[in-house]
Amino acid sequence: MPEARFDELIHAPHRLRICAMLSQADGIEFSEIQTRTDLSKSALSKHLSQLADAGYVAETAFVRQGRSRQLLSLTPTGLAAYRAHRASLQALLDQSE
Amino acid sequence: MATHDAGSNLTPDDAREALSLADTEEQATVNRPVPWWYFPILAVMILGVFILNSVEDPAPSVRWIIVTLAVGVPVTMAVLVGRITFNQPGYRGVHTRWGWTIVAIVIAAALAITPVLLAGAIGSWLWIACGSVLAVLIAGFGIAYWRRYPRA
Repeated sequence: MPEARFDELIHAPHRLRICAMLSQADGIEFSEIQTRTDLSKSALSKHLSQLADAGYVAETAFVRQGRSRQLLSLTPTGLAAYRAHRASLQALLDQSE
Repeated sequence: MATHDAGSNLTPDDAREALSLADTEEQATVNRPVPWWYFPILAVMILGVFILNSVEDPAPSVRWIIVTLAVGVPVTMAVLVGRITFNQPGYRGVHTRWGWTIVAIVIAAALAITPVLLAGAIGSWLWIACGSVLAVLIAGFGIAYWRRYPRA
């Protein structure tokens, strides 16, 4: 059971969604995250930059079908923070019941 | 950045909503949409393989057809499953939730092994019976899956 720790950076709905989707894969392409979140490129880049600045998200450039793409993934620190944040939300729910 | 106190103003409803949002996104990564025809085709192929196994002493004129299908259908199934399951553009290393996957593998294996062991004593109709059950399970699961995770 991860330690419960509320994380304000992750809690913002779009960043929570990004962390949640990245938590279940080794990496997801920028374009796919953009499709799923329905954010503009600049808005998504801003969220990802905030997560990357905190050391939560790593970005890898690669080429597929002749096009340069960005693969985003949660770092071990990011995954731990996301799990701790989830645990803090669950703890709050458990306390209220 | 991370704090202990920033969430102190959070209500249980806020927490529930955030957890629900996170769960939805996690599920959407793990359970990728599949084409509507994927599971029905898979069910038909499975049934076909079982029916081929039920044929006893085929006439020489049709034996080569049965052998070709007996090899071709499983190979086609393997290619189909590989392409749909492991070829998800935009994703790397999607995590598998093994709980239900193992249950499904055990059920499929039991239905495949049963006629291998008992068809000789009971009759070759057991192949068709087990194949039908497995095909219905696959099609039923497929319909439920497709309704829950439709292609966007």
